[in-house]
Amino acid sequence: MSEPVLSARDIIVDYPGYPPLRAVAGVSLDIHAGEVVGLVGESGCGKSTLARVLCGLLKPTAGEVVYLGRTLKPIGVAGQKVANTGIQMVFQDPGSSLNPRRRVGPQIQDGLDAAKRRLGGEGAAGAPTSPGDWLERIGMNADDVNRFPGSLSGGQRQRIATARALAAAPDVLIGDEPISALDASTQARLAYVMSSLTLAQGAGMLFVSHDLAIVRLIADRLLVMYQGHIVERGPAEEIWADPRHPYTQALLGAIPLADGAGRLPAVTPPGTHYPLTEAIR
Amino acid sequence: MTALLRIEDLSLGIRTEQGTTPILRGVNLEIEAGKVQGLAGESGSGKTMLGLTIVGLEPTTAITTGQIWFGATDLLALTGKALNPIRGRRIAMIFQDPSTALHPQLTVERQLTDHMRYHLKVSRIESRRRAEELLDRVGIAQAKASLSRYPHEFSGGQRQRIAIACALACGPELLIADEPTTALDVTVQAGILALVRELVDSLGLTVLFITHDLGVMSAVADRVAIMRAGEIVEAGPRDQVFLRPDHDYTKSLLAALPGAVGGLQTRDDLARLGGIKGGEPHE
Ligand SMILES: Nc1ncnc2c1ncn2[C@@H]1O[C@H](COP(=O)(O)OP(=O)(O)O)[C@@H](O)[C@H]1O
Ligand SMILES: Nc1ncnc2c1ncn2[C@@H]1O[C@H](COP(=O)(O)OP(=O)(O)O)[C@@H](O)[C@H]1O
Ligand SMILES: [Mg+2]
Ligand SMILES: [Mg+2]
Repeated sequence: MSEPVLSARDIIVDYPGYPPLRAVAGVSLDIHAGEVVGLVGESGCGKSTLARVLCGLLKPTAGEVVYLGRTLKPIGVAGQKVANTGIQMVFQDPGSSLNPRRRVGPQIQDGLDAAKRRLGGEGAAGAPTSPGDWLERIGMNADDVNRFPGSLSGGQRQRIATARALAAAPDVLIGDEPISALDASTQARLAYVMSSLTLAQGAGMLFVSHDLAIVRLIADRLLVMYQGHIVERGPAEEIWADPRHPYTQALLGAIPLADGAGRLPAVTPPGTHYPLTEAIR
Repeated sequence: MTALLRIEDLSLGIRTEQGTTPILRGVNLEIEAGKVQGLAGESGSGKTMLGLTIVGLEPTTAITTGQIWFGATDLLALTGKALNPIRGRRIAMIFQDPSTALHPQLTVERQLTDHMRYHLKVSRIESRRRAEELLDRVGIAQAKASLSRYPHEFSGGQRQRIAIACALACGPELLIADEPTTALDVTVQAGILALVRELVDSLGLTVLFITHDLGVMSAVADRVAIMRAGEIVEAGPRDQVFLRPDHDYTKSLLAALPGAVGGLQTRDDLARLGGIKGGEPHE
């Protein structure tokens, strides 16, 4: 396989406290161009912390992030903004990716400008070159450029946040629970739009979510996180069909399916602890 | 079928300076005794408003028409004090955030016994005994020791169990559960769903289970109603609604779900769905 665009090596993140809280406990992972990696796990397992380390928003306590062969300097150190780098992020709450007081068009233009500054010339090859074209690419109308985020639905705001991020021609797009706040009928569509447009640009994607049922449909590979550790990784369909780690098995068994069968999901006794070592597959 | 609660042509509007905004439009629903009636729909469709209206907690700016029959009583015709023997006693409600029902500065014992002492006029000792029994019933380990603890000392899932215990304190016939598992992790959710089912099957409790999650609905409900923009567009037995949906809206919801029959099974299904320009049905 080609060189990864983004790698994490032995990342540890401790949050200060008495005792300190180890949110990420030695994680290594690779993201290649042209693949979607799903990062799944329940709340508090360290997904967002890891995602913020990967895009340089948070300095890890130990370990390094390698981006295009070089150690990634955390944002702020060099005075750069995350909006300008080749690692773009979309958050659960589009409010954190979009400015409510600016019209949609100029915000997408920011992404286009960032791409031009970084890559020179016209930005990414084959990608839309104006905010209006971007809006059409993501399934909205070109004249939505004049609207404010507040006048759009949650799904539309996430589409705009995606357009803004992809207009910056990133090498990697990291989505941290980008579909979690949306209605179910919108979730799958948005997951598809985000991942297919990212791949169309030749970029790689890390899709963070607690919803395995949707993630496995868009991800090539899955990483299952539990208490700061990756406990299982592998091709998405293989893990879905045959989970090996007891935690992955519990997680999969607990998903209620809308199959009309009236089957209660499997219950694990509260306080169950699982091994922190990665399953061998 | 014996209906414990019968909603007839219920409409609700909210008064504003510009006029009245319709929220519920001609809702008809019969909730069968001893069953879980599911109420599903996307956010903003009016699910919570319907639940609140049943217990008389709709906003003061609401104007309602229609009837909500609980036995021979029309709940909509009752106001103020007349509702007290019913609300919290014969019909109880729990919410997505259990903190809504739990007072942060009161021990678990106080939360449980205050309800009982107010509605049932039982003694301190008797209410304490019942409180311990209830905690045990809803799956709180070390029930006796837990009585003197405060809500924040428990996890989210445990707090929801305590809120359920509070709701059960006066032996209600109907429990309205409004998205009780939405804020919880799936493994914790599984425990709460099993508990609800168990209370229905063993105590004969009747539950109106409100959720936006059709997977949860499919797991826990006997009958299902689908709500859109204040209207119930489809209602029926669980298997009928999930396997042979009648209404196009129900079909479109199921088509966008992984795991539903006729839903998303493969990446190709997703590509077909996602490829529809404009996408979201309600946008
Ligand atoms: N800024 C912070 N300060 C202290 N602890 C934090 C902070 N952010 C997250 N945590 C803790 O770190 C752990 C991992 O959190 P997070 O990365 O947000 O997990 P996830 O995204 O999987 O829900 C949790 O126990 C959380 O409470
Ligand atoms: N207190 C209120 N005053 C005015 N409108 C309200 C109030 N509460 C809810 N609404 C409106 O009623 C509609 C239905 O809301 P709700 O019952 O909360 O939906 P759901 O529970 O299905 O998400 C929404 O349009 C919402 O904005
Ligand atoms: Mg998170
Ligand atoms: Mg609601």
